[in-house]
Amino acid sequence: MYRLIGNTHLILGLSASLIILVYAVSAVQMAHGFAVKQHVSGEDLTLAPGLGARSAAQQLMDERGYRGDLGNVESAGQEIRFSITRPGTAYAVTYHPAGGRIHIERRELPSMGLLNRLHHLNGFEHSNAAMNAWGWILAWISITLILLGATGVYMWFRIHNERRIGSILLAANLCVSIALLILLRTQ
Amino acid sequence: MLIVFGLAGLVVTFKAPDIMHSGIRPESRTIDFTAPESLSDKQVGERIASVVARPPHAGEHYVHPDDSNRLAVDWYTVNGLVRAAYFEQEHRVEIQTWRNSIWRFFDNVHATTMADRSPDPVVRAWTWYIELSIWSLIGMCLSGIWLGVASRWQFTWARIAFAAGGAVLAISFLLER
Repeated sequence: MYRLIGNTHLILGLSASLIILVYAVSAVQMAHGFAVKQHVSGEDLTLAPGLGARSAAQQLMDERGYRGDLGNVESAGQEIRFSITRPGTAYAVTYHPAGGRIHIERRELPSMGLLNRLHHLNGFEHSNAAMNAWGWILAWISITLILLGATGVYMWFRIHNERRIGSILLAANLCVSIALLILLRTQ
Repeated sequence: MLIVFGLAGLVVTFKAPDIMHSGIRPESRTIDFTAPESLSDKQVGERIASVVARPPHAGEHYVHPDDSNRLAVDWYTVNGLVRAAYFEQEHRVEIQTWRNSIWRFFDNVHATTMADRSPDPVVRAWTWYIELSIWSLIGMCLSGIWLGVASRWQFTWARIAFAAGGAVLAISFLLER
């Protein structure tokens, strides 16, 4: 039993630890408000005239390699505005159906910004497959965190000469966390 | 804390209903209130905030017009939302308390960090606990990788697991960038 639990802990831990670090490092960035500076650039293109927002976005994705979720569609006078967004890059698109002219503002995040956006990315309802895949990764990581805790406690408990210090630390941790959670929930 | 972090991930993954979509009606109470004519909306909001006591564990209040264009003061807490809406013609303030589910509570507490700067001592204690937990998680990951690589590298599944995790992260990074 110990061997099985130990191998499970090892395999879960080694497969998930780098991704858990993504969440932990971005949590430090958010908790301490480390600034993330975007890189902004622009591009002008021409598409076929008379398209709607979805068709124009689809053409950008198919022919120009843009990737992400289509969002924030709005018509303003002679132009249609929409965005194409994935965690590391957001495109703000202004399309003129009359002539097919299109202006794209591209906002790219540095690596720390990408970690931040990945921390918030969840769910399976995105039109972009890679973003849905990250939703599954989050589900897997969430279950793995709980399993790592449970298997870790089991393995510690089986090491008899570390029970004393471990018991003190575990009891202190449980007392503090449960007391704070109860105080936060009940008051 | 691993359980709290894990539950928070599952809550957003499977979309546990938030306070506005849970179907639970808010608790309501009303107090008499009349704003002096000379005050701006912002000043009336501040006056309402001082009359309605800050809810337990709440951070700073937020003054804004609500969906019916009434002046409203919001306090967000880990337990949900308290909104005080001003009914100017009726000279009263309606205070509504939306209490979230235990699942959304776990999602909120996992995000209650040093960035919150709440004056509430329980929240402050929790943010220190979260801070310790985040750094512990980083230490756990790094020491776990070291232990796995140093002591069990001959175990084929250990190598496969580490390579698979690294590959998934690298591919995701490239595709999401």
